[in-house]
Amino acid sequence: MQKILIAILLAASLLVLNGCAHTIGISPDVSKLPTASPNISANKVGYYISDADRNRKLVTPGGGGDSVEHSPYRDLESGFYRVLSNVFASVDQLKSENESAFLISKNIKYILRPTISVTSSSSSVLTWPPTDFGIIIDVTASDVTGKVVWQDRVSGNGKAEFSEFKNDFALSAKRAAEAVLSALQLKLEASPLK
Amino acid sequence: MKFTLLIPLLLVSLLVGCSTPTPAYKVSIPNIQTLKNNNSANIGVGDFSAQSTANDSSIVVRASSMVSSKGTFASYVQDALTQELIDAKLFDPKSNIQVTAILIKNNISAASLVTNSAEIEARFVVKRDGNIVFDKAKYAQTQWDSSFLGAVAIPRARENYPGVVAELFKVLYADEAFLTAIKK
Repeated sequence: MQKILIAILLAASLLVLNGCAHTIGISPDVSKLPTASPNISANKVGYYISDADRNRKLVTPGGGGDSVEHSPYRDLESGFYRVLSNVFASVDQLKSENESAFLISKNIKYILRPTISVTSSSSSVLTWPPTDFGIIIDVTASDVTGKVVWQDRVSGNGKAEFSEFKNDFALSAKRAAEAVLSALQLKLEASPLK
Repeated sequence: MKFTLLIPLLLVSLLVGCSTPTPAYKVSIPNIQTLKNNNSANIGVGDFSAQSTANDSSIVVRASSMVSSKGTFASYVQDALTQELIDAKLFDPKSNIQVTAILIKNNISAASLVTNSAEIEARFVVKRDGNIVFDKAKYAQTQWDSSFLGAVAIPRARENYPGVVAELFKVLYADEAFLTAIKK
């Protein structure tokens, strides 16, 4: 009788927890990102993220048949801004791709556009938070005429086991975010944009 | 009999979260632009504390609770302001202009199955060369769609908390008296 009840309990637990898309925030703690470059570039840059991308919600696999829902552009924007601020003299958010008057008034030299893709998975069948999270950022930089002058790709991966993420379900994602943004800063520091 | 009592208890325990920390604060880019466009001086961030009326150590979110990833919620707001000033390239701990604050309200209302909300209020004081040049309480509230399911509503409430802090700063930066107080 006891075994039957335990089996029912487990089945009920899985039914309760299964099939959901759990919302997680993947914003990194920006205080954990690299500090400002010792030789900040005198160049001023702008970046463009469309409202459609900023509001885009992605659903990727978690554990136990569940999935996780996140907003990578919205959640990584503050970290992206911090990394650009760490490398360039000034950073401005652009409201549209064609703001020539604004670019001139702010003396902006380059416009950067990130494209973000995300993967996640879990080695656990009993818990939904992802144990592995991966983020790729493709960045394209163009000058004020629209000519592409630089592009590159960075990736970051984060891992977290149950003992670590039981108090922070998005831990692997946050680690991936910190890794990919740290890698981006290194790429930008070594780029001709600087 | 004891197992029939055990089942609902265990099921409830599966749905009830432990204390989980606040998400990292996401700086508000429009807030930063406001600071940058103001011809602001460099600013330091002084002490942030909380009145007993504010939930400084934890906030109840349905059957769960949320704690500050920075120890206290006053420290969370202090760190959030610091991050915004860093991104605006205006942070200088040794500046003659220092901002301090006392948290007055800090709460999430997550009982509704349709819409949940967060509210925060803080009294901000700006001192320039030791003299008070700004002293006002500011209040902000945000709301979001919720759910009957705690497994959905609780994480959603947690993820929305940084937004009310950003909204508080937006209200603060919209006050011309504050912008004047921090000008070069």
